[in-house]
Amino acid sequence: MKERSKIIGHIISADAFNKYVVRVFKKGETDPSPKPEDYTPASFVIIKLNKEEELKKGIVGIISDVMLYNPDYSEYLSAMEKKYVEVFSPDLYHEQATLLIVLAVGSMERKRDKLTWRQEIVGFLPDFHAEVFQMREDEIRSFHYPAPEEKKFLISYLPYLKKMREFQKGHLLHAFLDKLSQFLPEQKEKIKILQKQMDWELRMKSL
Amino acid sequence: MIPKESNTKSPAVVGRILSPGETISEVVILSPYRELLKVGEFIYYFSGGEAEPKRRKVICRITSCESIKNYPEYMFLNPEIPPSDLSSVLGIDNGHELYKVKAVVLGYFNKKIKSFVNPRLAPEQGEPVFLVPSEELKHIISGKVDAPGSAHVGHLFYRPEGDVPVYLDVAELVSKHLAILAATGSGKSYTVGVILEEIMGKHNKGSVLVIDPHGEYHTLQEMRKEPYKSKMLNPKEDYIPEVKVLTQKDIKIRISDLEFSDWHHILKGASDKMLNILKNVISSLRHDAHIGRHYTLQDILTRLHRDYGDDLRDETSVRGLEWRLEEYGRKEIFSDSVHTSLKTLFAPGRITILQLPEVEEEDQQLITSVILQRILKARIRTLKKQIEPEDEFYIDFPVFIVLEEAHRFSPAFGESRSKSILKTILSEGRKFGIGICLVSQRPGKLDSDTLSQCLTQIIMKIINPTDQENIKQSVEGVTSDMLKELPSLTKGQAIIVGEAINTPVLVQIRERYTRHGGASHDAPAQWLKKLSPEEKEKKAMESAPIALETRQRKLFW
Repeated sequence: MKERSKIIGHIISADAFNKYVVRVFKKGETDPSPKPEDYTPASFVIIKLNKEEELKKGIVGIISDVMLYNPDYSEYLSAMEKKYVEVFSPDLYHEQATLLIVLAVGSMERKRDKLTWRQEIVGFLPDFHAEVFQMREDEIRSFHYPAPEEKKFLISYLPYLKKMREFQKGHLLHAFLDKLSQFLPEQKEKIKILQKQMDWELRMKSL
Repeated sequence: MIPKESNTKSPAVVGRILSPGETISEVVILSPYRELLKVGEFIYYFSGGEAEPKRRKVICRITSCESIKNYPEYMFLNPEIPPSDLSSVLGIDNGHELYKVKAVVLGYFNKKIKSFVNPRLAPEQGEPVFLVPSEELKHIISGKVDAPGSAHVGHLFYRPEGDVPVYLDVAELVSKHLAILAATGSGKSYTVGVILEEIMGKHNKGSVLVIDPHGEYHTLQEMRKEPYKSKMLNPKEDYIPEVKVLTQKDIKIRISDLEFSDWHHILKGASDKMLNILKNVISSLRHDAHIGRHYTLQDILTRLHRDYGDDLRDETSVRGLEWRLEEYGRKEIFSDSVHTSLKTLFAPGRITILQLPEVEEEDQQLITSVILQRILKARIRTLKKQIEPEDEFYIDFPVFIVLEEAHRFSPAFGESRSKSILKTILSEGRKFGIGICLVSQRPGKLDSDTLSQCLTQIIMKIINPTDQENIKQSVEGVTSDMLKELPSLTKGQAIIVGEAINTPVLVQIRERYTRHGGASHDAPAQWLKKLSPEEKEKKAMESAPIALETRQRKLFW
């Protein structure tokens, strides 16, 4: 069995049934600690749904946004240096966090030895604090070939992704397709056509 | 995509009515089954309601089919990748196609009158639409199926071969005439061959004359052999068609048998005065006991000089008449003594092929004109009982005459000797049982009045817009959707429309049982053969001197 990917954070809330907020683990919360390059926008993640250590059931998501969270009142303490905040207001310090917005685009499930990937509207919610992992390259490939015997490349979630507010900025979708091309070089030409169309819409139609 | 097999015996639904069309004769259907709904295919829906007690099958013919779910244009950015591959990537596979199909409403088929009746009632939206089953379609298209008076010409193009054979009603062909129009090389004379095979077969045993300017129909002599005999004749009967191949030399008309009306057609450009003089001369000869029944051209000229030679008032007309008599009366077809009877040309179960390949166009017109004139006269006199069976003009059966290169005999522009008699027969021949089949590769050059009298048409590939326009103007029943089909037809495909069939159809013409005499030459193959080593050797052998040994022996023997 392949080693589990790096853990990034955990679910702290959901904006909608398919849109989750993930808090990135801070230094010391996990080993190794996630680095910013592990959770860049347009990256694939898996939200673990089962309690056991082994990943058996999960939601496949895409990071659509990254936010740095800082409670409003801390702004008024700007005169206080960071070292004093740690001493005088330790709770305030802990409220600061890096948050990720993750859009659910599919699921995975392992039954006995069979691993099934689905691109779908996910019909179940993760629990609070469900762990969120980086998705491995082989998993990304499998997710895009959900019927391996047919060798059929699929990104059926793309139109749905395009409709989401975060991806309407265009360049994010472009970056996402770029990443996809790197993982799936054999599908580069097909992805390029979709990219060209996105570019056209972004640069020509927006004027 | 095709509909799933139904569990019950009921036919599969291939679409649903979306709405009536722009007119009461049109319906719009939505369907996902592109492969089944070909342009020209026959479909039906049920019509009726409270006002009409019976729900009837309303037959329609598809006139257009367009996709209403098209791929976005960007999916064509890389021609190497089909748009279906790209839509598949986005999760859109088969099953999303939808087509808007327009069909012309023919109506429900009334078996009593063997015709379609338009229900004049808009279809209900959402009504299921079915394909007309082949067995039913066969009887809807053709009035007579494999029965006396029928001619099997091929099968419905969009159904598998043999599923829907198409038969023409020969009685309608003969009484209301036929036109076969096609660009050169698209199977025109092949189709004529098929029709003649049928007319001479067991179901018709016809009497046919073919005016064959290119010498293409002599292969019909194979109708007396296999495979024609076993395919087209009844083994229990002793009937085998008689095939006569004649040339210009075999056709002779005795001068004294020409009537005044014949001369009217023969003497091109003759004035009324000239014709009046000739009438008097002929009348004078016929009443002259010394000359007898069979006068010669010389007799006519001599009598002309005798009666009008000194008449200065008519000098110009007499000279003009004299010149015309010399010019046209001495044509090879006319004779002072020999005569070809109409009974030589026409008999039931006989096809006469008159080959005129080396005959000038004007002479072809003259010969045709004389034959047409005489057969019309013969049929009128026979039907009006003016003559007895022994009379040369007694022809007591209908005849069918095929005119190849019909535009030569009835041109759209200018005159032709045969144009007027051809028009007369086309307009009145029905009453007298003379059927004409006009065959032309240039319908645009064919007189539109002449063409419009042919009430059944077999139209094959035609590209020339002038030709298409003339067909549109002259042929009833040819709709614009059919005209659009004409350039895309391939060899052997034809649109048949008119009286000999119940509804216009696209047909694949059947294979002939006799060889095709008008096949194109394969020039490169013939050139290569001429310069092949075998041919060179053969030539060398032919031109080599006779062996000495043989020569010596010959000298001594």
